[in-house]
Amino acid sequence: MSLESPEWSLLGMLAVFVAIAAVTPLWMSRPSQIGRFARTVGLPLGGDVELERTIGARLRIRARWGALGMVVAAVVGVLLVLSGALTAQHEWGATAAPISGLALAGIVLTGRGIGTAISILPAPPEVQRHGARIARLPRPTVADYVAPIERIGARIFVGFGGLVAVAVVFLPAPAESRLLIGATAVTAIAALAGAEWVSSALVSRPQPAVSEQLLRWDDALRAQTLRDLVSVPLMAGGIVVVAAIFAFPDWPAFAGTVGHVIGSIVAYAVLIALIGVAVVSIAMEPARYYLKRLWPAQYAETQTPAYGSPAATPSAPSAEGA
Amino acid sequence: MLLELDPESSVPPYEQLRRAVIDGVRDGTLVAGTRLPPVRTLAAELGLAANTVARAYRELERDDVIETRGRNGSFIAATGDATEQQAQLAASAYADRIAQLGLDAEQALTIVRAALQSRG
Repeated sequence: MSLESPEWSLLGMLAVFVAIAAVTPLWMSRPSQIGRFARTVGLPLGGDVELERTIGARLRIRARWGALGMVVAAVVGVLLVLSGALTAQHEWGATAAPISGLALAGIVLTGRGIGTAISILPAPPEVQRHGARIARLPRPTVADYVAPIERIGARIFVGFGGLVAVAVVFLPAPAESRLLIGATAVTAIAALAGAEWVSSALVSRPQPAVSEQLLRWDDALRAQTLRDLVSVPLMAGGIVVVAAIFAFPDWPAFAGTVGHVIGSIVAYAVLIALIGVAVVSIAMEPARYYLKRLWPAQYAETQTPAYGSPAATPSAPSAEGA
Repeated sequence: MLLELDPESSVPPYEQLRRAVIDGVRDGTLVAGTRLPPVRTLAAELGLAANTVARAYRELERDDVIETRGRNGSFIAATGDATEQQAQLAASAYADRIAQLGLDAEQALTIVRAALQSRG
């Protein structure tokens, strides 16, 4: 088949993803990036060169697996583009064309999520060298690592996508549009079920650690990985809504005046809710949620002291554990 | 609660594990109803043989410190007299609910304190 502008655009987008995947492992090994990650998850490195080296090695492994997942997903994306399933080159791809970029981004995000999930399966290098020594009772759950706003938000988002898909079934939409929206809704539900199952399986695996400090860092990496996984159904839910808007642009004509007004109100309400959730989520520091749940004393040290209260003096993390 | 076994100690690892769990129950870190990890998981985390952890669990069960609920796993058993047992179970259920609601320990304690004070 001869490639035209839309196919080249999508292949270009995939090439950018592959370039990012290739650069990320090199980028993550830079001390400035390790320090940045430490600040994001709220754990101090404190100038400990050995700790920085250990965490750098873990981040490199994570980045490599994430990059591998992205590349494999990009290959799947290239095959999809060349098959014409995402562009107007073929009849079956015309309906999906408006969401093709988003769909490819979703596939690459899924690949990255699977890659980073695989990265935490083997025991950390330092455990392989020195043997496991420390354990925690009781064991944490997924709810200890991922903030409710992300965990439950993904369910609500996918549920909303499912409702949109059901609503389209009752409107006299073209068969191709219904098929596309139905397929994206089923994919979103499968992504949610898959992400929750994988998250639960990852958390139930043993968490061998050499010291309390490295157990804390292991928690940070687990939390980041589980958050990567949750972002997949979040995006899949968004794709269903976008698919419904773009693949069925004539819906106001089918829905009638009242339906149009209700649909517009719901669409704006969802948009405002999404912006609100995003703002609240950022303000709640979801990357440090695990710290608040599992290491509250360490979390308290990361908080800015209230006006008038004695300034918090940096100190070594106290012994705790769930 | 963090479990840390000393590989240099003359006390065998199963005994160190048994004592650590009993200490956790005594100081209130491990409350009644707390689920213990499966034998193989804990063995992998502590770098012990599964038989060593299984032996510690067996002895804790014999001493009524933990109880096994079929395939659901092993749990810290309610100890003390009947009133205390009921109180421990209620506290455990409250802690589970607080975790579901996403509240932290400080908020949970404030709520309990207020509820107890309102009863005079």
